[in-house]
Amino acid sequence: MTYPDMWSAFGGTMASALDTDPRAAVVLADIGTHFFKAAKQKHPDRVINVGIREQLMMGVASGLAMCGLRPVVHTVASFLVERPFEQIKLNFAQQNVGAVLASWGASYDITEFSWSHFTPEDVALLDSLPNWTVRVPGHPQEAAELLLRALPGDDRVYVRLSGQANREPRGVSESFEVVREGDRGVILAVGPTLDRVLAAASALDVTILYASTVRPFDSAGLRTSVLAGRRPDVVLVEPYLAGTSAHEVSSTLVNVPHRLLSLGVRRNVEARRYGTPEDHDRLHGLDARSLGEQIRSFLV
Amino acid sequence: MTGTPPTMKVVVDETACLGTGQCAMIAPAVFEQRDDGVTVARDTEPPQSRRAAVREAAQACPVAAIRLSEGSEPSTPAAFGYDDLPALIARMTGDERHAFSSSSTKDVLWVLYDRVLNVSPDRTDDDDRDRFFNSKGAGPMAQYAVLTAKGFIRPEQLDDWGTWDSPLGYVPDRVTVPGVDLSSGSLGHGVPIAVGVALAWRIQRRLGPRVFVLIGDGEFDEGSNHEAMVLAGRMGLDRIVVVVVDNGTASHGWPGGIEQRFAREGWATDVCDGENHDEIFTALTRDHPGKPLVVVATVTR
Repeated sequence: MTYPDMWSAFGGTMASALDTDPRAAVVLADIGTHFFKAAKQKHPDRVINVGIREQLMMGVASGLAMCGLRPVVHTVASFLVERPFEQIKLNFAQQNVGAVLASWGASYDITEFSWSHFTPEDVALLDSLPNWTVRVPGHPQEAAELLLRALPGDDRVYVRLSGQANREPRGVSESFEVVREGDRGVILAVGPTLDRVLAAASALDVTILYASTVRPFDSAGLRTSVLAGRRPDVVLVEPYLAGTSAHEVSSTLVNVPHRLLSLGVRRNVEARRYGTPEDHDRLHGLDARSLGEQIRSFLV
Repeated sequence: MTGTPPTMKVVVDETACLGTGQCAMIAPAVFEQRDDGVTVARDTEPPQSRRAAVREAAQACPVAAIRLSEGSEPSTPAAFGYDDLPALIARMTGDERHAFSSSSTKDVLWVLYDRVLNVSPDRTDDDDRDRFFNSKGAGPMAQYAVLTAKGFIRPEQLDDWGTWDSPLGYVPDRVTVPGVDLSSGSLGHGVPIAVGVALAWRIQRRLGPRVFVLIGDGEFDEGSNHEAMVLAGRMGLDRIVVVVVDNGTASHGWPGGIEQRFAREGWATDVCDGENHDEIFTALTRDHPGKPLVVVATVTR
């Protein structure tokens, strides 16, 4: 199955998963319901739209999980992660149950609403809680595979669906994938930033790692690549808040003198702008050209 | 009550675990180390044959990250009645009369466990048991006393409640206390989670059990309750019974009565004297086909 974007990959994958996995239940808050019209006819009790009530989404998911079901909770990222954050903390970890949270509209995808719908903080917020697996697919096909991978478990999984994507899918893995090997530093590209990183670093002798899973963080993979090169310089390129994974790099290389450049959505920037996601890439230095300049001046 | 089999619950505090692996060596059937070294319990309710090793492993842990709670022994059948609750509460507070009489929830809790809930200490994991969510959470002495009277907790466990090694905290925790179905403390989480439980039972065609949620009139301020109240009413989730212990603590009050809010959203409602056991029982067990039920139990402050 091929999908034009990650949102439709979510809708198509979950609608058919309801046919095959009797534990799966989708919890919605009026957003994304159009994917589940037919599924709601077939599985009226496992497509649950609570209305515009995000706190309740998490409570409902918690109760479903307590009774052995596998809830998949979905809405726009800001309403999924920020608005009911205490529910995420207390309805899952405190109750010792899990759920899959799948968000749509990553960072500044939804430019027509700007500030109210921008959520570059989502991964940092979930990273402040124990035992969340964080998936950041870079392509619709990866999104579909990562969702299916989350269904059999009872753990806590966040799947971050973005309108930005790489041209080609890569295999999804718990480990960082070595895309290219080089000698003068390591760049870790997360999810949809990979194509821009490849373009930015085309003339550089660096190793490029790709991550579609950032928590747990593949420390062994990063350490191996860093120690294999001649320069322990690391560039982190994340499509959400800059430096979200800096503490992971720091503890990975705790005994290795190293340098780190953390690129991502800039902190302390109040982007009261509309335009396109590519405009916002430029504002935050995440377009290929700005990435190239920042990476070259750090490594050279 | 005849002898109930003893139970053991094992909890590993992953944030405290140093990854020494002592426990996995002593009791490999129960503990295993993940790739990152942190230990997880692969069997959280080990059978009798493994418990000695589990106790040894808990002793050996250098940071006391393994917590055990052992439930009722067959030698201590529940032989307590309502009149024993003040003495049980006194084991926690040292102040018999005042602590007992000042508890606004003691009578509702007693009637629930004594006459309403289909639960017992030997089947705390039975999918078809009733659930009880103490959403109010704070002031759990009355709940612990009732759970002790009904054989879920051993009386001597009350003596060191709230200490480092005790499973009994200042708010109840479903992970560490047998018979507790909701970990609470922060207000406004019980009713939304009960909606999820009722929806799960609808999916599973499980028609027997009910989920009872205890909230306070002050707790009803939290907007999350209102999100849940509306959906439960509209969807006719008749496996839910909410008991509001109303002791008039809501800062801005509920003119016309809390039950009016629920009635408007399609709930069956009843009001009773929160200290009259027969009234509480009648209200909690009334028929409410196709609708969730709210019982407002009034208690004078």
